[in-house]
Amino acid sequence: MENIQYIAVVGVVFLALRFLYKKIFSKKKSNKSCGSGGCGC
Amino acid sequence: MRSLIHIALIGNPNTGKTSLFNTLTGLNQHVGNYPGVTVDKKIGTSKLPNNFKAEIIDLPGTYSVHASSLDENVAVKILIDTESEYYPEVVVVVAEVENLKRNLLLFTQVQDFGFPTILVINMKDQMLKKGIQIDVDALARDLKTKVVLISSKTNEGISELKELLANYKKIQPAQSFKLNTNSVIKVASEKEQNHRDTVQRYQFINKILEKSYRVNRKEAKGLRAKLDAILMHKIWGYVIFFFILFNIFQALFSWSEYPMELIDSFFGTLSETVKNNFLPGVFTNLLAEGIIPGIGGIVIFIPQIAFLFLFLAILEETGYMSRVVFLMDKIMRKFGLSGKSVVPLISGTACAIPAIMATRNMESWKERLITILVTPFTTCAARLPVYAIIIGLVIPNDNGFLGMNNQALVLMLLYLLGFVTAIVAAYILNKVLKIKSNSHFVIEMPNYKLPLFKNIALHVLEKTKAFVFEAGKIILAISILLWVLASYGPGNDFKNATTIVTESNVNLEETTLNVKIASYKLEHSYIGTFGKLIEPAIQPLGYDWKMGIGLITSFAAREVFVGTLATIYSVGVDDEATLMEKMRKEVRADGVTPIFTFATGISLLLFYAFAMQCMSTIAIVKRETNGWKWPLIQLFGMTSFAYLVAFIAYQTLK
Repeated sequence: MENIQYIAVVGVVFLALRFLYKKIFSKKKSNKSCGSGGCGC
Repeated sequence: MRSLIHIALIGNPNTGKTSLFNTLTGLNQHVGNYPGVTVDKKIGTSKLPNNFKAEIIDLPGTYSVHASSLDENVAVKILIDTESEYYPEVVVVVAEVENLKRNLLLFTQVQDFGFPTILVINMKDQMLKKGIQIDVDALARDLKTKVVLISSKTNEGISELKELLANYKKIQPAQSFKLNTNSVIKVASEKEQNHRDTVQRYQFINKILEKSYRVNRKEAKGLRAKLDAILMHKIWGYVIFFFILFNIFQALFSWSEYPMELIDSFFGTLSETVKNNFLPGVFTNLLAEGIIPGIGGIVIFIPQIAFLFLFLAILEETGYMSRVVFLMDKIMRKFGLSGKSVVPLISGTACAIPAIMATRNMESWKERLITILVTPFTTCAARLPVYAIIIGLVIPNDNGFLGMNNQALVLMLLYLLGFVTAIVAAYILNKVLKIKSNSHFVIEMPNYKLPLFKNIALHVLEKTKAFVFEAGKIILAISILLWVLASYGPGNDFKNATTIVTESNVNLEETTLNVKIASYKLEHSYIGTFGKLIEPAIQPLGYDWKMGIGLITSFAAREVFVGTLATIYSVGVDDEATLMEKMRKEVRADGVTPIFTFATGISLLLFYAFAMQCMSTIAIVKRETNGWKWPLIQLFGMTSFAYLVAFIAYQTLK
C-alpha cells in the first residue's frame, strides 16, 4: 500500500513538472498588437 | 438529416454582436483560443429552420479589414484562410442603427471576400427613441444583399435572421463596391492606399444612406447628451468615476468576505477529513497538505475576482466604461499609457492575469507593453493576506490620522502606493523604451443602456475561468512541488527528526511534540536548507531564514507566504491570531531582539508591494509578449526595486 502511495506521488509530481515545463516553454506565435511589426500586418 | 452551416459573425465593437451570438447560441457555446495566438475564440451552435444546424463563430470586434490590433488581425485571417476549419459558408455582418455609416465600411469590405453576406442591423428598439428611420428594402437593393433589422434585447427579427441563414444559398455573393481583395494583406501597411480606399468607400456609403437612412437630430439629443455632459465633465467626470470606483472596492471587500470565509473553512475541513479518514501514507499527505490547500488557495479568490468583474461588466454594458476610457485617456497619455489602460489597471486589483489579458484591445504595441509591465504593481487580491498579517503584527490597531484606524490607513496607503508606482513606472518606461509605435486612439461611444444579465453572467464566468485555469493551474502545480521540497530533505537531520526532537524534549505532551517535529523537519527539508542558504542575502532587509522560505514559496503566489509561515511556526493556517502571536514572540539568534519589529514589517510590506512574486503572471507576460525578454526584465526590475526599497526602509527604521 505504501508503495502505491509513493507511485501516486511520483505520478502527480511528474504531471506537475510536465505542466510547468509546457507552460514555460510552449511555443506560441506572436501576440503583439499592430504597430510592433510582430502581428504580420 | 441535419446539415451543418458554418457561420461567421463579424462587426464593429459595441454593435451588440456578442449579444446576438448569445441569443442565437444560448448556452451551446464554448470559449477557446485561436491556434497560435491567445485571442478568445467563441464558437456556438444554433438550431435553424428546416432541420439545419449552424456552427457560429463570433469573430473579434473589428472596424476594418485593415487590421490594427491583434483581435482584428485574427478576424481577417479567418475570412482569408480557406484551409481554416472556421472558414465560413456565410458571413453575418452586425451593424447597429446609430453608427450605420461606419459599420457599413466593414460590410462592404467583407462583401468583397465573396461570401454570401447578410447585413444585420441591431438595436431596432433604439430607433424610435433616436428618431432613426431606415428603408430596409432600399438598403438591401443598393448593397446587393439581405438586410435584417433586429433587436438582440427584445429578440425581434431573430427568427427572420434564422430563416435567412437556413436559406443562405439563395443569397448570391455580390460586390456593392469594387476592391482588389488579393491585395488586402499586402496593402495593409500602405497607409495611403488604405486611406484612399476608405474615402471612396465612405463616398459610396454616403450615397446609399442618403436614400435609406434618416435621423431626426432633435429626438436624438436626449438623455445620452445630458448624461455625457455630466459623466464626461472635466471635473465632475473624474469625481463621479472615483466615487464609483471607491464604492466598488467597498462592496468588493464586504461582499466577498463571507464567501471567502466559507471557502476557507470548507477546504480546511476537507483537508482534515482526508487526513483522518484516508489510508495513512505519503499520497494522503500530499492530498491533505499539498493539493487540497493548493486548490483552496485558488478558489478562495474567486469571490473577489467574480465581484470585481461583475462591476466592471456592468460599467461596460451600460456604456459608462467607454466614457471612463475617453476621460482618462488625456491623463494616461501623459504617462505613456492609454485610456484603455484603465481597465487592466483596475482589474489588476483582483488579479494581474485577466488584467494583462485585457490589454489585447490596445492598438499601440508600446502602450500595451507598458501597461503589461506596470499592471503587476497594482495591489492584487493575493497581496491582501500578506498585508493583513504584517499590518496586524506591526501597525497599532488604534485611531490616528483624521480619526482613521491606523491599520486601515496603512492598507489604503499600500493600495495607493501600488497605483502611484504603476503610473510613475509607466512614465519612466515611456521615456526609456525606444519602440516606434503608432498611437491612435479609437474608442466607440456606445449608447447608455440597461445591462443584459446574460451578457454580464457570461463575462464574469469567462474572466473567472481565465483566472482559475490560467493562474490556478500554475499555483496548484507549484504547491505540489513545494510540498515535496518541504516534505523531504537531505542528510540525517531530516531523516532522524523524530528521534532528535523526542530525545531533546522528553517531557513534552504528544501534540506539542508533533508540532516541534514538523517544524524541525521543515527547517532541515530541501526548502529549509535553501532558506538558510539565501539568509545572508536577505538579512540586510531584516529577514531571517524562515522568512526566506516564505519568500521562496510565495514566488508561486504571494498568499502562499502566510501558509508557509504558519507551517514554519507550526500552527494551523486558519488561525491567524495564533500565528500572529507566535510571530510576535519570535526572536533573533541573540534570544532577545524580536524579529517582527516595525522596521521588518514595513520592509516586508514594501517588498511585497513591489516584487514580482507571481509565477503565473510571469507565464502570462511571456505568452502575451511572445518571449522571455520582457517577463525577465519585469521580474528582475521589480524584484531589484523591491529589494532596494525594502533595504532602505529597514536600514532607516531599525
